[in-house]
Amino acid sequence: MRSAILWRVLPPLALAALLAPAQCPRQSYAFTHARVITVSGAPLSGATVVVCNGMITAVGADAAVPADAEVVDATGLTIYPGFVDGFSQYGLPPAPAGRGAAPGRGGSPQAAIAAQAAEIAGTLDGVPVNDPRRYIDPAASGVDSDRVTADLLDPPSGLTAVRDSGVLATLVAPADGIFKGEAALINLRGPDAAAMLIEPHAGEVMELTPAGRGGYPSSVMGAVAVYRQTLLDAQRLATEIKMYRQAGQRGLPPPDYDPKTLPLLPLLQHQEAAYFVASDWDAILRALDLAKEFQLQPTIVGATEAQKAIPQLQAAHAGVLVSLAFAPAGAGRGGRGGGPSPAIVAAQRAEAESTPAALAKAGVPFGFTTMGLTANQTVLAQVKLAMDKGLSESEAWEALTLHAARIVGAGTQLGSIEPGKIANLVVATGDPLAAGDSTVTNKWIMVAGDLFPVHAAPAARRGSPQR
Amino acid sequence: MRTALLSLCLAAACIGAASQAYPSPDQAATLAQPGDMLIQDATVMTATHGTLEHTSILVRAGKITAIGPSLSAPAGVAVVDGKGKYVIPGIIDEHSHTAVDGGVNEGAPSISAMTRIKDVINPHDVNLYRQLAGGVTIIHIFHGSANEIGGEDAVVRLKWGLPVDEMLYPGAPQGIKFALGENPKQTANPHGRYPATRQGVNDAIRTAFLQAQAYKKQWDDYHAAVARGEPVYPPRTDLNLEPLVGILDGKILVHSHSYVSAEIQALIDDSDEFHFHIATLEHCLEAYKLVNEIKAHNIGCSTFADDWSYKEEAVDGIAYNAALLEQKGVRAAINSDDDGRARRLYMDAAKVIHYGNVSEQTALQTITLNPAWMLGIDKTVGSIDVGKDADFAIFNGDPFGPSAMVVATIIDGRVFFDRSQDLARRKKVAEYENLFQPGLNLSLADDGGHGGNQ
Repeated sequence: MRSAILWRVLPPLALAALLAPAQCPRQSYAFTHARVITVSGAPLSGATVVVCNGMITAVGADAAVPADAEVVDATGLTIYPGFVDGFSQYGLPPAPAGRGAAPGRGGSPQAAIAAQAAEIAGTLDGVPVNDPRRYIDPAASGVDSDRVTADLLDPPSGLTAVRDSGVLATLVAPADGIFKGEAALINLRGPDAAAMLIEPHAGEVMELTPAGRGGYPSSVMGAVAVYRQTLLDAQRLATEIKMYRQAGQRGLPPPDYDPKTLPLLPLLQHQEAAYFVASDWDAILRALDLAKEFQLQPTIVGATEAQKAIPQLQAAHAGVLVSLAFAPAGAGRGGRGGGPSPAIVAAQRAEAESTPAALAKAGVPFGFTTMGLTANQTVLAQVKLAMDKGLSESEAWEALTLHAARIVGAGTQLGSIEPGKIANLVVATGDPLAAGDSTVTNKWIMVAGDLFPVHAAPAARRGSPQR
Repeated sequence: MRTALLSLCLAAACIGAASQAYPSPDQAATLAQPGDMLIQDATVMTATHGTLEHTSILVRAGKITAIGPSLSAPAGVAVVDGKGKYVIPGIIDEHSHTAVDGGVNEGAPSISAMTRIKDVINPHDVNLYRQLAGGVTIIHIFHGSANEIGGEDAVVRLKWGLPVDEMLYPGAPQGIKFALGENPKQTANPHGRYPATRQGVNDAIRTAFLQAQAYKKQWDDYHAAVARGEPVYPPRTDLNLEPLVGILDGKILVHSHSYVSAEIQALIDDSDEFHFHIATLEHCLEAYKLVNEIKAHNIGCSTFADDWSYKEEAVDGIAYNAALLEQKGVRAAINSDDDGRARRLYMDAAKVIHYGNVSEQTALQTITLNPAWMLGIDKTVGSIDVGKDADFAIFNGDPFGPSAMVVATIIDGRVFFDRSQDLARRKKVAEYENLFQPGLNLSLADDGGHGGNQ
């Protein structure tokens, strides 16, 4: 499609140039005379970063500038890799309210009426109403393993503000549910889902929490039971498929390809990453135990109290994505009635801020996530809180970029400025993590080779950069 | 300003940890190993063979190895001066909901047998420490009573500071919670579930067992087909029915919340019909009316000391229940069902003497040996006998006296609560809290011993 247009509009000479191996099918760029925080190696000064076809092709003081490249003079400016957000809902439409509420259990009035009618008829969904086990209803249980995040992407205009903060790629999946569905790894780019996707099959995100949709489960222990039953069902389906194939598809009925369990087979067979959202100490330990029960290789997302679980995280070889919200565990600690005292909350907040430094010291690989970040918290200000608690500048950079990229399975594609990586770049007036410097502002954002001026209207974003 | 606050917070994290009495990793590593000790010259209430004056207890590797009037400590074994102190077996709270994370009931279905308390124990819950301060060493943690058949239980040693796996009592038989009467009945409507009547409660239990029988047959048929060499898919593993099959096979103990005699009789009838054993009736306020039937079925009764008429089903509850059951040869336990009451179970046991005029040993058994028997762990805990676990509560005087106070609590020969250390820590806590709430003015002085509640 695109090449057909090119055939028509491009003069023959330019076309010949386009077909030559050295040429870019898309606009190429060269950022010159920049200080470059590569993260993968030492910072460079007076360096050139060349971008072609959305990828970084050359980095260094002696990198050649292609003839057709748009040159951005970055004298006095600093270029750093775009942040990789370990888990967010950027690019997803807001979740619809009241989703999946089960009939007769706090659902809509219509659902209640339907349930009453069913009581009179004596059955509901074909099950006798006096069956005490009827209420274990998978439709209400938060098993959304059949949900594919890549199909739900709908980039809103609000992405500009996220990009301007330096977050340029993220693992994304819906926030609700026990099995939240298949995650996608995306660039925060436009204009459509296809342009955003880096990896549409990026793993299953799980959380051992009540689904909050009324009905079963209404408790954490119920959520654990749902998790366990669902994965047992998936194991059984895997067994059926194996038997069916071994039998040469003869003599046995076809397996029961349940739409909720079928998508979980790659997870059980270790072809897909397992993410567990867990912030509190106990929730982290629980997630690690339940991952082990099904031989899953876990990554913990949230991880506010992860420093208390370091031995267990190390034993499980778990990746960690720490929420930058540093939210205290809050109510629920210290018994029923009343929350924790201000002193305990202050201690918990201080401890949360010291989690990144503690993980770094123990050698536990971790990245950051914006999960839970409030409107008045910014990524950089929160990272600086962690640095105040002992996280070094290089550790902070790694957590924001390369280590986060590795943990979400994109260590070869994202997280550093080196040839062969996706061109996710931030051009700023200085090093935003350097001590004492709070005046750094971002000038240009590049996402997969698309250049956006910061704070410009969307219509003007394709305008020429300064030369 | 910000720098000042930060340094304060760093100190706070440190003192905050101390204030929760939470052992450091090094301390925890020591506590995880069974200990040695000699408790010397104490008054020992054994719970099986009376009260022994001026007696010593030798503990090696977490077990009681000798009890006698003049024992001396082998080299390297620490000596605890028991002079003037009373030692009783560690208290066992047969009915607890402490330290359950994220909801004590899975209230949505009537049969929630697929839930497991072990999955949601919060080993850091401060109530575990507070109960140590009341001499409790083992608690039986239950699912709530919102369901006819609730989840699987956990028997937990209060090894505060250790991982859950270290807390679970090794080899304790698996049990499950049943509930009869008003609680499951009245929870039905908010959840829009069946049943919502008392007669429906029994129907739900019977229906579940009929389904469990059919489920068991599915698996039996499958195994038979496999044995015949037929290619068949295995049935679905149903976590909701597996525990019921375990009950039918005699592998899982039934502990049933119950109040009135009619519902107790109905459950006993169910157990006869489906051939399962009821280990314990929980609360069982009207058990005294059915004492012959209960005795004939070898069921234990875990009841309250004296609450009366706090709900519709409790109008015929009497303070003589435990004593009457004991007189007729039914084992009775006094339980807490409550984070706070668990800290004063020795007072509740004293009430059994007050109302029922039972012996001190019988009263002591209601919070030690009898709950151990109900949990199937009485061979190893519940009394001070050679060979049993070194679980003790050490009191400043007679545990049934009005000024009784726990000075130390010991599990497997390790000190998990020490009152003198706790008092020292309380001062630090008060200093720290006052920093953040200048108006609070917590007392920095010894509070005179009103419980380990700070």
